[in-house]
Amino acid sequence: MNFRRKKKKNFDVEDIDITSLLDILVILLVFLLKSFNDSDLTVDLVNELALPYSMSRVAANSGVIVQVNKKRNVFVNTDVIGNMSNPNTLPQVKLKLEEEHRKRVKMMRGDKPDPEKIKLINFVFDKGLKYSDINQVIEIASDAGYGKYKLIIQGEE
Amino acid sequence: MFKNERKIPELEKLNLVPIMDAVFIFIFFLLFSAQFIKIFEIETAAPIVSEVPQDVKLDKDPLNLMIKVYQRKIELVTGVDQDIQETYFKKDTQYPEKIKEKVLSLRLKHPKEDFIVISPAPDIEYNEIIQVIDMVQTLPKDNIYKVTVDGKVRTLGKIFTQLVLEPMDEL
Repeated sequence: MNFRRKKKKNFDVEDIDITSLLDILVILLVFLLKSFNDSDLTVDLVNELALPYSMSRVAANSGVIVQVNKKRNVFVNTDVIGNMSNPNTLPQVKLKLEEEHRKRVKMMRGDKPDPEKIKLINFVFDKGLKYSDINQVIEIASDAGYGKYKLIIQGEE
Repeated sequence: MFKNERKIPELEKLNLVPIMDAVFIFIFFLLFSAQFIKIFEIETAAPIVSEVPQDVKLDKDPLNLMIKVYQRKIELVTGVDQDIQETYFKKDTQYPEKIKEKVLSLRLKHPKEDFIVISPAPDIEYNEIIQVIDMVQTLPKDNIYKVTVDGKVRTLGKIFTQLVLEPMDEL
């Protein structure tokens, strides 16, 4: 009997042609670079909220985010607080904003606290919202200790 | 017989693997930072009410520019007595350009004043307020505007930088 092992044939591994993959990656890179945004604010837009378009090109900064959608529902940092038609909603918004304000003061206590950053609040309003509603929210924010308002808008193409 | 045969040097294959790795990692970072809605901001300030000491000399003719936005018209108000300078009716399709032109001319006439108050009626929609803000802040394209403040020449980045939203009933 022949117990000798059969010699395995060595196959040469052919080089995989990665040119097409590389092409795709380069194209993807171009699109991603185009959509790159250097602002340090990320907004998770709530449902039924359409931002107005503006020609402003100032990058947004991070801060507390208050959103009010088309149905007048108020959100603080994506937490739903209630509807503006309910008289209890705005006092609750104020409490939540005061809590956020305290948190921010505590967080910045270690570092050099920047009063401008503590006072900063970002408003994300639906484009169809009436000024009377907007003013109510701004007044509540002002009462809660925020004095620097940023209106978040969408950049025109 | 003595022909010199030139040796063609074999080209080494370029090792693309490290570049590929770097590009691949770069794509992940870009994917995380990608925001498909381009978000920007407009800065406004809370209306400040303060008492002016009596010994402070006020500017003889301050601009005190205010834009009142109504449902059908926009009023441009100036001065201490809040005189109506111009009224623009919204049925005129050219009104945004006219407002921009007027506001810019006022800004160039009053280089020290960089402050504007926008006062919308309660039933005005947010979209329209943003449009008015664009009118009074964005400079016309392809032109550079300069003002002289305290002997120094400054190039304008916006028509008015400081903006205050103030409800009409508080006026």
